[in-house]
Amino acid sequence: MKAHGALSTRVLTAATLLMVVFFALAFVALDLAFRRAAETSLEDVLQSQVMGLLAAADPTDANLLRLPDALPETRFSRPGSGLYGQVIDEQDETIWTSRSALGLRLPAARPLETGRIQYDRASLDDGTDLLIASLKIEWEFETGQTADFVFVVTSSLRGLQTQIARYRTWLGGGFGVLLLVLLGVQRLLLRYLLRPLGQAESEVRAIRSGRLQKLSDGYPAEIQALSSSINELIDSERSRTRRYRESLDNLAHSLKTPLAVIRSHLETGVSDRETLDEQVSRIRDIVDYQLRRAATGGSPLGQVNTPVAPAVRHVLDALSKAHHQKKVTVSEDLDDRAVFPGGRDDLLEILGNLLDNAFKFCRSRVYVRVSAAANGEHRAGELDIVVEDDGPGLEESARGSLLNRGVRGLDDNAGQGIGLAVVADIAESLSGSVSLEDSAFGGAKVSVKIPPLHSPG
Amino acid sequence: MRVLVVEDEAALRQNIAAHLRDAGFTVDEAADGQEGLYFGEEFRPDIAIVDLGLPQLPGLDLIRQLRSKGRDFPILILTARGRWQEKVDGLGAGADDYVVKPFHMEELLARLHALLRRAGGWSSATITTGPVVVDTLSQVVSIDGRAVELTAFEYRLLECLLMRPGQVLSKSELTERLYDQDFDRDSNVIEVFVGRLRRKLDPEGRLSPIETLRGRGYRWRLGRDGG
Repeated sequence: MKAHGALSTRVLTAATLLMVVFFALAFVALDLAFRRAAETSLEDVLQSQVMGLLAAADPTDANLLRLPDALPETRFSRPGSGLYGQVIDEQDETIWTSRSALGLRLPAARPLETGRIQYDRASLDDGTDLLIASLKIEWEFETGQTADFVFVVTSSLRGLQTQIARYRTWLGGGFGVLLLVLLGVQRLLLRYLLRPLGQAESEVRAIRSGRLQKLSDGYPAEIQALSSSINELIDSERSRTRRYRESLDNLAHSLKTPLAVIRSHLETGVSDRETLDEQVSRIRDIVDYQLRRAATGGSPLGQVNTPVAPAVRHVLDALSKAHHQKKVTVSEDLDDRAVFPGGRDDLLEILGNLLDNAFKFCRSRVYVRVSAAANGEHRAGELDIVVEDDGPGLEESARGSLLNRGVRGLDDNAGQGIGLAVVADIAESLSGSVSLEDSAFGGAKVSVKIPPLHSPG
Repeated sequence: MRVLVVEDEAALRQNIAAHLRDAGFTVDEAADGQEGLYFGEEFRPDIAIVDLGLPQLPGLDLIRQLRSKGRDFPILILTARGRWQEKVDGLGAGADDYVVKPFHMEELLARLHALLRRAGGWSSATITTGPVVVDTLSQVVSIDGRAVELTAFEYRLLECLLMRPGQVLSKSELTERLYDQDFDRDSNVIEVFVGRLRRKLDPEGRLSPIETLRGRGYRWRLGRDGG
């Protein structure tokens, strides 16, 4: 039997894939969001720097602007600080550059709309990425003249990039650890969930090697159904095996007596036809009985119900043919709801034996009653089959042995018919019972009571 | 009376056939279901003995097919298992009685005779028709209490007529029932035997129990007086 991938492997693989994809997507999304937020805040900072430059600019008489040497933002004064300011006039001449930009060639500004701050990206000759905020304004001097100026603040992105890189490291690391923890937890959870299955498997193995009789109780509901089915299977298999073994044993033992008689006759050379015939009949009865007994009994999982009334009618049809030379009046009282908790062959065996006896021994009347004690609307109750006749009846002393003939393997009184013993065996295998009484009609009354199938669960 | 025996176990079949021939039956032997079906349809037996466990065509199917083709002769089944399911299914398929193996030949014969009597409309082993009384068990025939000596062949002829009371049996039908298939069929023999039987049953010629229908055959004329 080839297993198609362990359950745990399947669950683990699926969950791992799912989690990796989830974390990857989450990482990308968070990274994007973080970068966007960082850039926006940098843009805000640059905007306020531009506004700061604008506020610091003083108009000169020559209709020009002049900026003080020392600005409140010290990074403008420190060379290579990463924050650079510029003011450019209408002729694209740079009229002021912050000290921090000493020795650097800042990228040229692009034409702009007046009054709107604009952000651009560029890079320095050494490859440093830059974010450039430029604002073009129309300056109105006191003289009434106006001139356009562009205020530019450029910031190196190095700080931002370091920040993002650090953020990524933390995020990736955190997610990695989280992923590992989750996978570990999932593994444990899975092991916990699948433990009953593993237990069942090891119990089955223990049963096979004979260390255990049956699966234990207390499985979770989902598995309990399976485990009790397995137990039923084991039970029925066991009782079947036991029955076969007993039958074989009984068969072997009980055949020995008639065989011994025959042999002794052969050895003494006395060929007494009658004795031989008697022994052959006895052997036939023994074989018949033991075979029927072995074949009797519920099927392992096929707990079936067989309707009783149609079976009774079949048997009555058959018997009225077989006993045609006898005028028999049959009174039947059949409950159509009655079901037999077993297979049709066992039911026919019971009915055939009971009714055949009744037909054989009655004077002229046979009564058969089948009822199911009502037990709710759809569930059948105990099945009760009663067969009576108006014949000579059964002797009180013979009753016990009629039902228990099988026990001693028909050692005595062979040829008397084994029907009732077979009926008793079948009833017993279904936890039912057989009782023999005197009938109010004068003959024998045989009742077979069989409890309904216990519904599973 | 013609019996069809369908049984695959050769020893048992031959044994049954021998016993039946001893008892005055004409026997057809079939070793499997197909052969049994063919014989059952072609040879028009008066009764058949069918084993249920047959090769080619199972006994139950054989019985069903014979019945569906309108063959209504009695069928006695032989069953080895003895489980009621088999008996009930066999009788349900159209058989008339069963015998469980192993059995005594006497029992088989008794069942056969009972089935034949029933098919002829007689319910007891002693047939009473007019003043003629036939005990089918001891094969003793008497008229008005006086025993009549019949040869085995004459008795079988009488039995054939009695099993179809009121029906016309042609000479060839009687020959079929009284002889094996390979016997040279000379219808004069039947005429001779019918003549002898008439003289023995009705020496004074006042009963005329056997009617001759010219060109058609013979008929048992006396009524059914019960029994």
